[in-house]
Amino acid sequence: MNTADGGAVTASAPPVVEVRGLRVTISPRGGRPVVPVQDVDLRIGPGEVVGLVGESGSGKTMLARAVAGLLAPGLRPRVEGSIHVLGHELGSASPAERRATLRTDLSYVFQDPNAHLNPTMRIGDQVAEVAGPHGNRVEELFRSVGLPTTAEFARRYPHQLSGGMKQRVVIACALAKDPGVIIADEPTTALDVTIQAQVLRLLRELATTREVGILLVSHDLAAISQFCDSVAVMYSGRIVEDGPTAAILRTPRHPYTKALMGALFDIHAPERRPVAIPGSVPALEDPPPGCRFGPRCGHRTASCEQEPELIDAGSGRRSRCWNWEQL
Amino acid sequence: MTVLQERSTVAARPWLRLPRATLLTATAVGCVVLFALAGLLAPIVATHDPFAVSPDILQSPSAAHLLGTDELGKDIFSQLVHGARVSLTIGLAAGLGSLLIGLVVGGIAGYAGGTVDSVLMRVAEVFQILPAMIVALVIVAVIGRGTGLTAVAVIVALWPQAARIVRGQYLQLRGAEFVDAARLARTPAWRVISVEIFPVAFPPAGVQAALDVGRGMLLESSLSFLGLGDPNSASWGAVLRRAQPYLGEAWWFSIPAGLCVVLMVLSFNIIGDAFSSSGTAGRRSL
Amino acid sequence: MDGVSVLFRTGSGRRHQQVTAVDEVDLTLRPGTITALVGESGSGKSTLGRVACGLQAPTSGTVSLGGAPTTGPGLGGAVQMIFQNPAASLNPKMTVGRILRYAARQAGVKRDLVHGVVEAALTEVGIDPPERYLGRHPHELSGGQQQRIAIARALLHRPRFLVADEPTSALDVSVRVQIIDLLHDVQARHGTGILFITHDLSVVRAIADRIAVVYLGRIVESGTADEVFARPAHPYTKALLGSTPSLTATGDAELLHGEPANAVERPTGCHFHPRCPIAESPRCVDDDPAPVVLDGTHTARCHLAGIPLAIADSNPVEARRNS
Repeated sequence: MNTADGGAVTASAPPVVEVRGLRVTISPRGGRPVVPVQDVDLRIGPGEVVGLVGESGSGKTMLARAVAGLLAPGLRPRVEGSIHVLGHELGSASPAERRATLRTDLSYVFQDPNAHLNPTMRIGDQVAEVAGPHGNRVEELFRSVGLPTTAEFARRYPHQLSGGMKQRVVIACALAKDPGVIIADEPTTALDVTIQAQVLRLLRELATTREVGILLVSHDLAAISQFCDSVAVMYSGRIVEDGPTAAILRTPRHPYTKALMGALFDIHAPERRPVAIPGSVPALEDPPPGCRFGPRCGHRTASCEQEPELIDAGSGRRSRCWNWEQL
Repeated sequence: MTVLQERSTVAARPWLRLPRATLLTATAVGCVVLFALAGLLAPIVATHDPFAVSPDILQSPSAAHLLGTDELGKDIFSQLVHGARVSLTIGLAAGLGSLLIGLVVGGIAGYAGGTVDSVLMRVAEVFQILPAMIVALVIVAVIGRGTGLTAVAVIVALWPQAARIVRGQYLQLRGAEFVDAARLARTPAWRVISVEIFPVAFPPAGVQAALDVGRGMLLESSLSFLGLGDPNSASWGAVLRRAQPYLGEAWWFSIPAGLCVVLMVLSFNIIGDAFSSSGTAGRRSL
Repeated sequence: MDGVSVLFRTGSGRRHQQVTAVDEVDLTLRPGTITALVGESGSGKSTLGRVACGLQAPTSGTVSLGGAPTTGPGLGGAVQMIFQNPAASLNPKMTVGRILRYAARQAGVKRDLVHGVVEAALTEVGIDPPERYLGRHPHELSGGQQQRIAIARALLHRPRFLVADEPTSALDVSVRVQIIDLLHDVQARHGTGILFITHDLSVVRAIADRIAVVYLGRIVESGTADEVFARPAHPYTKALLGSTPSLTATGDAELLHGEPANAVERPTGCHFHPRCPIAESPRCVDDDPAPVVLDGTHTARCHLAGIPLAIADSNPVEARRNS
């Protein structure tokens, strides 16, 4: 349903989010400063769904939160590089301008809908509050996320809804101000598989119908791959590979992507035994020299002692591997 | 393969979290040690007999009387040094006493659950909804005055909080997966309670005990201030009570005693906080 | 010795606020096989797992081991459990060595042999070299290592059955395979039967011999893995299969509408009918279907399961009963 050309079409329109050379440094109290995100370029076109995939400790949530300006102050974060949201440069903007842009043009959907919804407020009122007096009507929003549009339903409280419904309400809130961008951070991890598919499909449809760019952050490549136009794979704070989803799944151009795919159990290919990736994600305090994936990589060569840049691998794809052509 | 898998664990070590609060904590500990020494060595440190009256009444601080004298000509510095004894004794008794009762009552209520839990917690609530002050007032008023009785009053007022914390811990840990694992290994109940759960449940109760020392001292001072303390001891609260009429003209009468109370309560709060932040560091891995 | 089986005849589970977590479930575990218990959150699969290892006493019904009714945690040491959250399953205040030595002693290992037995157990689960880990606390280990320790602890009891409750859902993808492989090894090497509780059908496809699908406290379909995957008979099983993420799937499978019903307000008739794409009125709404034997050991609890292939091809829109 979404292929390489889907990404190519949207790539011609001006992006709703463009990130260049992003680097996040955090200095938590009582710890050394570490760099959880480095050298990240990312662009999301209108109507495009970009998947950001990585294991825990890869920096994917830090990246998403940095774009949304939601890094916890307790981490004392420093964000360098440029972040454009709908043409507004956030890096050089004043805090007030930045907040204004993020408030009107960007919505964030968290993993846990309970963290987003006010338990003492009726869901209809919560959505109406985000929409404001001139925004979308609540029934309209509920309809677009597949919730009942009756007045009775809008008068319910969050605890009267199931997890999947709550996440739909959160998505309705996210749509209320007609944002250009939605960042969804593991929006379905807390949900059951049958509901997960519903919610991801909803996000996919909303991107197309409402021309909103979506960044879908997940640890589960299999879950989101069907719903993204393009995918960026993160490892140890860097994007190691990005490009159109179908092309990446067909021929991964980075050993980590390949290993990650190889480690998945596939219900449609039970005869293929998944292979574990040896070792574990390096600690931020103590990254290996050279290529970050080097110590765990089966394709390691002498050149890997130098950390690779993101190398153009043709047809809109990039790989942070010196040997991508040999894969 | 497994060797590679080893993960750096620097971030998980609790002691690395300490530096931010170290200076403050060290100051607090130093303060407590200083007062404790003063209290312990009161007869040596004190320059005068705290109860010896003299004709030099309400004198300002001088070489002879470091912090001046009170309305009866007693040396205030010596009274405060002896007062440290009373305050610390009652504070420690409050901390230890409420911890002990809290562990027993809270542990039983939390692990047993059901009716036992309900009954014990209702009893604790009765004590908790009454302000600590009033409980202490009643006891002192009914039974009498004396250092021991003051301590009892303070413990009675403070134990429910500790019990509640311990109970919450046991209630939560009773269903923890490592407790299930212990039960699957045919571990007897007494061992589950004391060896498996206790070490995990103790830190928050310990923190509460440290805070209770401070609260106990404050309560003792308040009781003495109201004239319900031991009439034969030179407690800080007692000094403050007698300083009341002279607040305007004799600052040395009231301010140093007040400072002593503030410093001690603050110190124990800081120590309790330090415990709790290093404790949560360890528990975060749970 | 092939007659050993664990039989659960569990009647209406916990009567807490009239919540029936597990509803008259019969489940037979055969020694040396991996049985997967599949279901979504709230389906009662975890409760069933706790009943299976004696941590939860059934309100009615019995759990038998080798033909004899058995009760108490671990059913006398014969059943051990691997938990979902490995960090929480190890006592945070104890070292790895202390945890394992205690398990070995409880399992009846003589004092002077304990050290060797513990080291052997660690080596077996891939913690190598063991002596480097004995003095560590659980929080100093990665999630994968913690789960290995938990498996070593369970193995020290030389259990006949292991109950593994979502043992990999808290772990990263790259570690998940290692733990699954380890459990597979354990089953192959010791002939330990495993009750594998999960919501992830792709893992089930890879390791399970038998499958039981749970919905609202009932087993709605069971059979060998091959039977269930090749010819899923219950619409819920089909929906689960369709929504299981896969790199090779197209993403346009028929999805369930509606939300899982909760155990407090169970639907009438077939519990699944409000979400079922093929439910027929009035039979599915009013009558509770009994398990239907399809072939061999393959059973499904669906009125329409007797006519397997015709259902899948029928127009679901026509039959859909939307609420």
